[in-house]
This record gives sequence, C-alpha cells and structure tokens, in this order.
Amino acid sequence: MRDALRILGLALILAVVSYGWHARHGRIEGESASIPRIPLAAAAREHSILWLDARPEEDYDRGHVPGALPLRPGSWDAEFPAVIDRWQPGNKVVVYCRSDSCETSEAVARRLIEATKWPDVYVLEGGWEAWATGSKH
Amino acid sequence: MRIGLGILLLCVGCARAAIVFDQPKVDVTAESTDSQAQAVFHFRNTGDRAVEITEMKPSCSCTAAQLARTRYAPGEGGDLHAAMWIIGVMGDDTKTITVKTNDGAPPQKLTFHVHVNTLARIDPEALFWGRGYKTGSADVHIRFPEADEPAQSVKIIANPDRLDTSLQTIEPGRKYQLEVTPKSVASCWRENVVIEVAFPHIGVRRYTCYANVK
Repeated sequence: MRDALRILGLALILAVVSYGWHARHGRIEGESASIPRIPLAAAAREHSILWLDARPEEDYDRGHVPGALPLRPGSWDAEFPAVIDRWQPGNKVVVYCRSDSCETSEAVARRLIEATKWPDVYVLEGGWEAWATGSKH
Repeated sequence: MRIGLGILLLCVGCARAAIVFDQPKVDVTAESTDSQAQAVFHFRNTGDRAVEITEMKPSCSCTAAQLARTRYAPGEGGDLHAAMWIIGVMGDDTKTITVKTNDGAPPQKLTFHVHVNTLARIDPEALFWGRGYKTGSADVHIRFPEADEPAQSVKIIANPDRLDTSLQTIEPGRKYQLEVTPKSVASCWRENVVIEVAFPHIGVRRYTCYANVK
C-alpha cells in the first residue's frame, strides 16, 4: 500500500514537472497549435473582416459569405494573390469550411499564418452551416 | 426492469467490434507533384455473424473511402481504400474516417496521415510594409529540405525599380536567405519576387514571394 502511494506520488511529481516544462518551452514537437475559433455572433460585430471560404469550388459557387474570397489548399497558388491584395492592416481574417467537422479551414488558416505572419487569423465556429443557419434568423 | 435495462446498455456499450482493422492508423508519404495519396486499411470480421459496414465518414470532403462490398461473412477479410486529395498540401496532413457497422459495436475511427515531401519552403510567402512608414529590409528563408538532390542554382527575379534583393547562401544547394528591401513605400503596390530554382534532375521550378506595401 505504502509502495503504491509512493509510486503514485512519484508519477504525480513527474507529471507536474513535465507540464511545467512544456508550459515554459512551448508546445511539444510535432504537435501543432490550434487556430483560435470565433463564434458567428462575435464575427458579425466586427467591421473589418476578410472572409475566406475553404470549401470546394462547387459549394462556393452555390453560396458564400458576402465578399468572401475562395482559398483552398488545392488552388493556393492561384487564389493566394487575391487574398493578399484584399487584406488591409487591421483586418481580422476568418476562414470557414462546411462545418465544425471539416478540417480544411484549420489547414488553410495555419498555412496562411505561416505564409503571411498575419496576427488575426481565426476559424469560424460551426463553419458555413453556422452562417447559413444564422443568416436565416 | 431497471437492472435489465442497465445490463443491456452495459452490453451495448461494451460490444466488441467484430470488424477488426490490422492498422487503425496508416502513414503514407507522397510527393508534392502527386494529386492524391492513397491508403489501404485491411480488416477482418472476427465475429461469428456476418457484419455489414453501414457508413464510412471521412472528416473532410478532400478524402474519400471505398469498399468493394459492404457485407462480410465471419472470418472474411476486406480492404477499405482511402484517397486524400493533396494538391497544395505542404508537410503533414491527417484525416480520419469513421466506420460504422450493423453489429452494435461503437464506431471505429481510422487515421490517415500523409506526409507530403515538399521540394521548397519559402518562409514567408508574403512580405508587408506599411505605406508611408520607414523602409526596411525583410528576410525570406528559402530551403529545400526534402529534395533528393541539392539545387544547382537559385536565381531571383524582381522589379529593380521597386525592390533591392540580395541572396545569401547559408548551405549550398539547400538553404538560402533572401533580403528584400523596397526602394519606396510612399504608395501602395505589390510586386512578385520570383525564386527560380534549378535542380539537376527535377529541372527548373519557380516559386513566388509577394512583396506588398499596404
């Protein structure tokens, strides 16, 4: 019993030390930092948003957030220059894909941050589904 | 009654999947010139009844999953073929496929990880200066981390009326640093800085870095 408690205590100490180390030295290698999410209500209050649509072309053609530019991993080279041209200092950039379960918006946002070093890049919570539902109310 | 319901729920919750995948995670390496990466998840029906795979749901529209058929007899094996579109993907990408069956077992999550060998990394891909602010230089890091062969030459093509550029070799054929300085930031403009790289066997590749005054 005493040995078990001793092992448990040691494991706890190691866990605390490991947590402290990672907190101080940033994220663990191979682990990518997640992109901040912005709820639709908060995004709607912003005046200078650059919307980026990461869904497939046919979805974008069927409907998109007014003013949104397409930016997808598969057509990055063709679409990226227009995004740069539209962006203005002080803009918040919000990327969306179909819903929370798609991962393209996160991938696009991550690459955008790497490519531009823009400070305010977000993923829309709920994606296009949230927008489509929200705009009906 | 309550106890019976509890036991039933417990049994459903603990139901062991009859469809067992050899590897629930598959790692694939692809080239940046590939349009898609493919993975095969082999499985077997380890139960004593035929099982039907009722749903395969990829986490992204960029991934597709396919089966030759959906019903598998006891002891029978099969392959779930997955394809991920990777045009424009750099480095690592991971998608999941959720597989549901009609035997009451909980859904199983398959992980499809792809590493796309990236010939060149240009960091950053866009540079910005504030209009009317002080002109300063910015550095662009050019690397060829996963090219099988070192670059033979790296050439910079930029508008000399707008930009001064200076290329420094950090590690021949592998790492370079490009210093970009706008001549004036009095007005807004965008210029493309083309990085032309020649590889002995791959040939010439062009990458663009966008210099902007905003």
